[in-house]
Amino acid sequence: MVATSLPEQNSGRTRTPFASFLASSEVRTWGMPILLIPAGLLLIVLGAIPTWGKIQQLQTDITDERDRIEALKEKNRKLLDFSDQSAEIDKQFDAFDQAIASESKVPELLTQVQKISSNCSTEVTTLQFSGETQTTGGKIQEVRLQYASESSSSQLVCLISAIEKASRLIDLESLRYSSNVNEDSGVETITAQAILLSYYTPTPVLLPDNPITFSLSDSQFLQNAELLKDFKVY
Amino acid sequence: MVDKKEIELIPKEIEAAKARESLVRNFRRIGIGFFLFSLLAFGGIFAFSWSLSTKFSELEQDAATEEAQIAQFAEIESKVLGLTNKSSALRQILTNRDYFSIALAAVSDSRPSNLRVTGITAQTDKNVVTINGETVSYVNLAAFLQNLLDPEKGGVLFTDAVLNSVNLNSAKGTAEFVIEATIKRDGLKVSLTEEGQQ
Repeated sequence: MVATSLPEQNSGRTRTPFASFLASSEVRTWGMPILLIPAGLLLIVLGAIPTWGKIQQLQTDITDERDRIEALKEKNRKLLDFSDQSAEIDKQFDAFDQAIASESKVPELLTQVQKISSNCSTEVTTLQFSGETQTTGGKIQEVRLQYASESSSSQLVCLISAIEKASRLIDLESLRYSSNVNEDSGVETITAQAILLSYYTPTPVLLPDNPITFSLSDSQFLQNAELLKDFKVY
Repeated sequence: MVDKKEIELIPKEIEAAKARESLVRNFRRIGIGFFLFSLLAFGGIFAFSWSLSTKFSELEQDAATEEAQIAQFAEIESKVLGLTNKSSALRQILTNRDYFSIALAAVSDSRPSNLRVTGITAQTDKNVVTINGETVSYVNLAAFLQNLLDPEKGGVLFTDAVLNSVNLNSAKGTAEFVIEATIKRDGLKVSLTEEGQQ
């Protein structure tokens, strides 16, 4: 009562209304618990609850990171094994690279088609690169060639069979031929037109998280490697 | 009675003051207790979170070490992944490949001796082969159509052969014809085991 009745004067100093309010008995009595309860609530709402959410995220991240480390270790182990078999890997890679190159290698492809044609004694009249497209799967790129030649019937059969057996894979997208008989000589000439497709798989992008599923002893891989032996290198 | 009332006033004030004091004390205790509980809860959660963050950082460092080791094998990894892609691509290409030599052989096997095939058109996305030709005899043309469906000859590939047009070329004395032969499903494809044996 003394404090509230003498707000203006205390020990010779003037009190502000706020200081007087703080000094009031109600504030002294109720002030601390009234402040502590909201402060505790703020700690829980603004501190504990968001941190708890962060903890749950961290626990998930830790589990994921542990799994990732396991996968990376497994990949490392496999790569170490493959590095011990690098000679075999190189050999197989070269064999497969001959069938499906890592780049378009158009000049080499044109040369191969020329050689196949020469082997079957067909005269190439048109041979031109007409673009690249990506297959729907995305891993294979197609290289398209326009081809035309003149030959006999048996030479054409030889050419088609040779293309189908060429070391660098070439498919026929379309084939059209017409024959003409020279009335004077009686010689039949077959004019063939074809669209040829060859393929390449671009050099893969290396990402640490990409797993290695390949095995040199995989039966399907061995079967594929066996298929390559039947193709003729030009 | 008046005296009694005056005497009873003093204990009631004291009791009220005591009750108020008790209320204030409890309220203070609750306030402090709640605050301390909040502080401890926050502190505990924060410490746990900090320890998890530290653990996660350590795991990230471990992962970085593994990645650095993997990077040392970049060349071999590139070849291994390349082999994986090429091996599966080879299988895919050979499985989907149309062997036009089969069509040429089927037409050749079906052709009677006095009939000349003057042209063939075939496309991978069409199941029809267009055959142009000429003959001096309609009997040969009929035999050719029959042979195209004969299981021993063209019938290994074709399921149907339709004569689209026949024109008599009076100057040459030949009948020029166009046949559309329908290829059976996957008729131009070769299984990979057969491919290996070829």
